[in-house]
Amino acid sequence: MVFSSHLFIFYFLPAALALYAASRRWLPKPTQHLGLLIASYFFYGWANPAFVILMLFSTSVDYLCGLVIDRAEHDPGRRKAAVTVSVLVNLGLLAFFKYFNFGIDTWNATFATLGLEGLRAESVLRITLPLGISFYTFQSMSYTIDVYRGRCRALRNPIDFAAYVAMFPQLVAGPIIRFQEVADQLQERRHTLAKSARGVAFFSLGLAKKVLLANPCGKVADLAFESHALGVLEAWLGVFAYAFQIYFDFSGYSDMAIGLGLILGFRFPKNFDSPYRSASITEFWRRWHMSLSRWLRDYLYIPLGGNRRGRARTYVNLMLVMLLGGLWHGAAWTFVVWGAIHGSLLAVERLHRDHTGRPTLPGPRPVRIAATFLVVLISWVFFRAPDLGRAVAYLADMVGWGNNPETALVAGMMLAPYYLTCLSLAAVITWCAPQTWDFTERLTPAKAVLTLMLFATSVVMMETQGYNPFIYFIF
Amino acid sequence: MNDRRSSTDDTRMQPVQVHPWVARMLVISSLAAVLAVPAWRQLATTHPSLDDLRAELASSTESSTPDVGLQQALAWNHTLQRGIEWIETGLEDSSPVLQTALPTVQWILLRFGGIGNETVYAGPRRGTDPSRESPLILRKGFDHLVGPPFLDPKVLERRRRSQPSGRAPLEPDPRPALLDLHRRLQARNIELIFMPVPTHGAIHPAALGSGSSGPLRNPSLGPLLDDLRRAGIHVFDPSELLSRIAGASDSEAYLSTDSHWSPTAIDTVAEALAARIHGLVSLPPADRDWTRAPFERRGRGDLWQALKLPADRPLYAEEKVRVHEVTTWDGRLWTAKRGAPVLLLGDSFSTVYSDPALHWGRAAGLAEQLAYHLLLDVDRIARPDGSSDQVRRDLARQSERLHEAKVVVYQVATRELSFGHWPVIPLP
Repeated sequence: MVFSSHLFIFYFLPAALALYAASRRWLPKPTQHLGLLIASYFFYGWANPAFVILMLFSTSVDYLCGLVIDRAEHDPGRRKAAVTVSVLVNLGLLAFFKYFNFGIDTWNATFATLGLEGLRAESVLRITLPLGISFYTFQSMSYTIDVYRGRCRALRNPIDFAAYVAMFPQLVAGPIIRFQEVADQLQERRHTLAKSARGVAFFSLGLAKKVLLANPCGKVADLAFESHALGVLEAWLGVFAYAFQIYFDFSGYSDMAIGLGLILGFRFPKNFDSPYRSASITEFWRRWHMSLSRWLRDYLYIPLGGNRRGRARTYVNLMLVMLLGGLWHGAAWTFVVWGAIHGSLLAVERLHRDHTGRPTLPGPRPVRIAATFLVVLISWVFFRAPDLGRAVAYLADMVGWGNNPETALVAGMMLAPYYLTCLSLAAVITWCAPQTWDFTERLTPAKAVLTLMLFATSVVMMETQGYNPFIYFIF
Repeated sequence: MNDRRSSTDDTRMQPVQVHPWVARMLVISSLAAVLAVPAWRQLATTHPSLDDLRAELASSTESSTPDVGLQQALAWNHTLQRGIEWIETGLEDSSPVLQTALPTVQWILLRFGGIGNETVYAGPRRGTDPSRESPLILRKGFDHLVGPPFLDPKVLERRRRSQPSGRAPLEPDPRPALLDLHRRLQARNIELIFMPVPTHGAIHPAALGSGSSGPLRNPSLGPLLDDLRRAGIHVFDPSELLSRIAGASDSEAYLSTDSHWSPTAIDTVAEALAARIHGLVSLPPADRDWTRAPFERRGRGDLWQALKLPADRPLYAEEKVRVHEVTTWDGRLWTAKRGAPVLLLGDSFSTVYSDPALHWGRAAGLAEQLAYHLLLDVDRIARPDGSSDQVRRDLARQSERLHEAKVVVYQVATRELSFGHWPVIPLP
């Protein structure tokens, strides 16, 4: 069930809000999150009921480990053992469910290349990736690590903890909320009309981004990436379209999550900050999927030594974090290459800063923004392509090595007035319009009317158009 | 990325500034909209009952054979997933917003935006005449044409893994199935003719904005046909014939509002196929004196139907086609004859002018025209969307239809090579 669906908006959401309100109104304080928890498990189980058991297991392990760490205040060995168990269980689940197929395929491909077909691992087991496992394992793991580091106390109430892990607004695609960011809110938070109104505005604008911009851009990107050869113009148009699709898809979903959080009384952190306006890759990663960047910084980069162990180690750490960040997105070599491109550029920018003392590369800001966007575009080719061979072929198309008669057929479809209008609108909004975060800080009557009109238009388009994928659901 | 943690502060939300009545209006309006749609559906549309759900779940349970323990749990989970899918699809399909808005929205998107939907693509408009609408093309046909080579090992592997859990595995490679069918027919002294029918865009590339005039094809089609020829399978590729028809000033190879070929195309192909069959095997002497009677049909085809445009603003004019019904000398309509020397396996390309449900007439399809040109009886097994597997399953179930056969013509829409399921199906 995605947020931009008939079922979610017209059935699940009203029922979940009613359940939430009823449990807050009538249940005693320790069980006030029961309604939210039931709704969240229902939401999660809708995709595949069996995976509820998996989430329950992961949640139970982290809850118990948190308690052990908290209670063993003067027993470092026990605390370390508990946090180790939590990390191993979470990473073990992630490794098994996300990387088992990848491991088998890589093993087989390697031996096939070497001509050693006999060493193939014949696995009849194909693992189905549980929805949102990359998000909720990171989120749940951050809890035990934060308790271990003494940044927060363990939650005694299992319902509150399970609700934190499973909270439906951000369960399957983030933002990844570290426990310390919502610990206080889980105990006490205010529900106000103003907060709900902003939540409605966030949700409506996020839905509009998703349905009115990301989906049409996605169709153009699909046409390009699913064609086996393209002309230069179509290849560039395709990757531009994909850049807009992934941005509006993911930031739209984040906006909807933040909006739903506000309606439930939570204030979630920002997840996107106009990333395509970045003038360097370093800046890009401060603006793109900010909750993941923060998580990787706090739970991977800094524990690896960050920039405290010399320059060379800093560059290695940056590279390592981005390689793992790439693999976090998907179990495929294309994601590793995508991570490597970003990691190496982060290291190069750091190297430049270390040698010149200047935080940015030379040149006027608009030029640096354009250059950064160009690099991001090229890296998106690896992110989107089904395999490395196709990614390289796509890059060849972008420089004019892949023209064939079929190209014109694709061009004819891609250059439809509707798609060109949506792409132009996406570009204008990307570089000129205010972000949802800022737009909703002050809600005037005009903005409220615009928001409602966008909601209505998005619903009509959502209902009448069959194409409605959500990219981050597969991560 | 840096070691500072203070950037978290930038991401914290500031309190919103909003006038209470604006906030009230936003919340109440959105809540009313969210509640109104289910209420509207309840009142205005018919929707499936719980009994339908029970039937769906029962059929799902019957099809699985749960063992004990984990297997049983997985079977239950699969049944539950089927139920969930059924509920979600039912709610979406019976949405009053969808039913009310779809025709108008699609009309606007096609007329001004130049796009179709998930089933039908709209090509670029030809010329500047605003009254000429975009050419329509079946999405699967287009995707097959411009998509990756369907025999590329990576593509095959991706397709094999594309099935959701709980579904039977998909076999994307047509070669083993075709070679197996060939071997089994050879054992019965029957020749196999494989006949891939190209998609609209392959034959009319100019109509879709391409500068190319010749037939286009998926890069794997040539190698596949070469493989089949090397294995002894006869290939009858009508692409060039269809291209010639498309290139002529007074004829069209394909219909405008339908995904299928024209009556002219079907007749020309049937004639050439008959000649090929005659050159290939020794058939019994001609013993049927078929006659043909022309009939005119008007209508809009499956592509137009799939767009669900408003009836009062159809955008596309009705097409007029002249079909040739094949009858016996005494006026009885042609029917497939079991035990005929030629058996045609096919899909809707074979039956578009045979099956009245497809709106273009009767007794005027490929098998009929083939029989007319052969002056013989022809048998036919056809499935509209199942030429890759269903039609061979039907043949396996009714293998007695091969007893007198000398030739089996296996007609397949080329898109099935990219999207079809090609299991090996043994003939008894």
